[in-house]
Amino acid sequence: MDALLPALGNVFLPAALLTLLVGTLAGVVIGSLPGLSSTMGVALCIPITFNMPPDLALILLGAVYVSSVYGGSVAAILLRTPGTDASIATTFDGYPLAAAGRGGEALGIATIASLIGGIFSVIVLLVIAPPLSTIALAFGPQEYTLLAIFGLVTIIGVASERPLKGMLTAAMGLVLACVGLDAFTGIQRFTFGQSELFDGVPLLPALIGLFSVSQAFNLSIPAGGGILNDQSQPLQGRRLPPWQSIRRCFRTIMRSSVIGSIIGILPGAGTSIASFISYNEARRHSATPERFGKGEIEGVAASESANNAVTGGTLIPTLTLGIPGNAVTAVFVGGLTIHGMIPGPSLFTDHAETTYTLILSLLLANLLFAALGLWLCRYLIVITRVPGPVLGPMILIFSVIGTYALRNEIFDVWLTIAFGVIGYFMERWRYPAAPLVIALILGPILEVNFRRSMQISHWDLSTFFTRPLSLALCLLVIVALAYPLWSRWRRRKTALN
Amino acid sequence: MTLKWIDRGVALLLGLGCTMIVATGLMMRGDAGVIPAIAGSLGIFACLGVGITTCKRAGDDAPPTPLPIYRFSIWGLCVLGLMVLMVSVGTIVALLLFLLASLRLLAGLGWRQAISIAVVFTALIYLVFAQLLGVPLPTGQLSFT
Amino acid sequence: MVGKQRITQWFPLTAMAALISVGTATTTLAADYPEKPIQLIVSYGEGGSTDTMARIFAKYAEDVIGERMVVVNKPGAGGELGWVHLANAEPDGYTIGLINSPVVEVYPFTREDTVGYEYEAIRPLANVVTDPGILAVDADSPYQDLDAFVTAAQDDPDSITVSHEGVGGDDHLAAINFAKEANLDLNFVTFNGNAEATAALLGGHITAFEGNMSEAASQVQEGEIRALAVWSDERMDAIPDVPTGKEQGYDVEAAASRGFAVPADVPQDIYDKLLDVMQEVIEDPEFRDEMAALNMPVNPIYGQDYADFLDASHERLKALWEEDPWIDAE
Repeated sequence: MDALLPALGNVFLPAALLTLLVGTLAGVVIGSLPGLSSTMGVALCIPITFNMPPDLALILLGAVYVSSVYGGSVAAILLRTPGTDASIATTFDGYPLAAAGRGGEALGIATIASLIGGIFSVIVLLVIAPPLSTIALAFGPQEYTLLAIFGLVTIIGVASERPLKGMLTAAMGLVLACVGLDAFTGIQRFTFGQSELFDGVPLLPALIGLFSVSQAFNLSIPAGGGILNDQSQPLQGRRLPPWQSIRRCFRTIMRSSVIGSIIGILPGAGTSIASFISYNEARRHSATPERFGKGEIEGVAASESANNAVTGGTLIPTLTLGIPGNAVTAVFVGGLTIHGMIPGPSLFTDHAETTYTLILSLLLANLLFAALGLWLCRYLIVITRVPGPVLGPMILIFSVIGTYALRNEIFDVWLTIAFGVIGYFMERWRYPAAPLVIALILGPILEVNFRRSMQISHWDLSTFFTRPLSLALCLLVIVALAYPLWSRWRRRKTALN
Repeated sequence: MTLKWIDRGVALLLGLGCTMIVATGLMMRGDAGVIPAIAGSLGIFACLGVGITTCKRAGDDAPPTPLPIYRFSIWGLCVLGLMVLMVSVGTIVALLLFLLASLRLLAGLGWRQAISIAVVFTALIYLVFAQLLGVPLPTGQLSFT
Repeated sequence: MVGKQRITQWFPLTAMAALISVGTATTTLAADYPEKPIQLIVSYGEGGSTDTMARIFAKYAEDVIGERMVVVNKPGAGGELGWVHLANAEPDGYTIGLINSPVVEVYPFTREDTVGYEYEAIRPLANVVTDPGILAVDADSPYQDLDAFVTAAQDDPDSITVSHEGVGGDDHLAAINFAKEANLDLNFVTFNGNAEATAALLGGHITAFEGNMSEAASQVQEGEIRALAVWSDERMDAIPDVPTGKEQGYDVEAAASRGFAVPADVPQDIYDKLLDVMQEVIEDPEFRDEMAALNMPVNPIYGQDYADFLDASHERLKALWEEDPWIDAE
């Protein structure tokens, strides 16, 4: 902690502030373009950071990381085109709000929620990172299995209007998640000899196809119209979100920040589990759960505060143990090692000044993107007024370029287009796409950890109930599963009385 | 065709698919087939459910909003053209032509407006992605990247 | 009006047809190589040790060759996906790749029915790093040396779990090799990468961790994990206190070697030029220093020697496989 003061001085040097500004701007732009993800943003910056001094390099990577996660909310809300799995849950309520002309309000609450989530997790990182890193170790394969199941419970809420169709698309997602070469046995599953599929159905092409490309179809094909349901309607909320809606969301934001920070610490979990679980918890604690999915401002707040809280959380095991918390921080580790800083406890001793400079710059980056977001809000919502057939082709272009850039694989672009067509017809025929994507994301986490648990316990299923932490998670899953049934039963009972 | 019949078709097709998946899953070596078999069974179950509800309730028994065949095929051709041109000629030219075609034919913009939007947007993409971010774009013969 | 509509209707088609016919003409190879950026295919994800090495190498190689080197990560299938790309890439010298021995020479026979590339389709250029395997336990573990571990595994095989990163990978092969040498029946737990395996080891969810020295060295130096053995001929500079397997009476040698290769049909003059670039970078003292700081032992083997080295390993492992396959066939 002695390094804190010199680090504070470092952050406010002109070069550092400039890097921070550039990084934040670039991050928000990359994040908000449909089809580009935060992993890509950070990966793109790595070559640039080669020739920079280590602390500036870290400031740049950190700023791009946190602000691109925030930037994802802009595309998710206004266009329904999440560029990364972290902002899928934001589309559930953000896009209906935008379509109703309340995009400004949704963006505002997303900004506030992202800011609080981000700041919360950075403070956690700054103050109690080393003790918290033990959480990363407490989770074994058994716990990850249950965490994935906990995330999958979200599907029930998301698909509550069409439970059977939701179950069907979720099953399809699980099947797609099994495609590829199996690391446990070395055999191929459902790859049809296609080498591009050995690694499984690539997640982002599927995601971008089902959400962004199908949205491009939706916007381009009808003759009139655009994102707004009613083009003549005035756009509301061209300023800070009203105080009462911030206050209403405050509990949700705090709960999601805690969930996001904790899940961020877990190296095998990934960002999207945090936003799914937070979204589901917000829905469960809400007095009006039926409004979720139709434009409930709390849904946006839950997802956005959670995914930004993950940013600080993932850096905890990355910096303290050298174990990256997700794909982005894995790239981050590469950036660190290239500068001769091997992540691990030595970062807080030998390189303490640089490390604290990074952490403090993350705080500033959070403030900066929030200021930028609130200022840009009023201009950005004009996008919802652009005619659909103008917007559609542009979304398609971003999706195509973004998908290609992931692995430089034209196969992935074709896959994206194919998923786009599937998504377009799924929507026409009223099959929800979200369960498929959630299952596709969580399926592999569930499967590898389940099989790992079985390897450790020699196929003894009781291993899930005999470990205290996994037993606790079991109970949480049961509560999350039983609660909707119980509340329905109670509501029916009060209705009868 | 009403949604009811579409649902039945989808349920039948996917149900058969899931049955095959379960069968392959059960034949897989070691524990590789466990999750595919579970996922497939879940799918069969859901397909049965979807199939049965179409017989029971008339809930979704309405024709879907008619598909605008003309606009759909124009758009499909534009997207296909974009993909083919991208690998054969190069991204930048492909983007320009794709935007021009879709803005003219689908958005119904005038030539002047369509050209200016297409050129400005393509230039922006080129500057931001190829120059600033150094993102690799599919290259063809006439590409500038 | 009608005429206009007809024209607009056919415009995309005609434009498309015209441009496709232009586009299908083939590119000819330029004499002055390189004249455009070179793709460097890394078969593993960003931030891993292979990726880090590739990026540092690319930084030096760019200065030597005078063109950009774009690191392209194609992770998947334990590296196979990237090598399929390498083997099938245009042999024009604009695609080179990192190959990781022993897995690159093992897949063609362990995945005989399905593998997407042939061993002969990849031509080795130069080896850069030879990263020996290590067997490590948590610092709190009761096992102080390899003998204690082996005794415990013999007494109660069910209580011991050892991680590896995918069936048929170099960690798995090293662990099999050791199990065979020590006459043990080890329970393996499969992980997706070093990060998750390390977390599981530190959290006490598995007994031991089979991995590469460079990835675990900093944790060994910090005293968070205890390396029981390093599977190399001699002790390593980065972790001088860790005895080799041979010192403790287990004749196990296993390492992951990372080097460069090109598609087999690359013209000889381009191959020679690339080999010169490799040599210049690998012999650069600054590059050596950066590798040493990352605990990556540089072990240069060039051209035909590298090919011979891989061939020998290919033959040896193939014989081992035919005697006792480590992936049980159906």
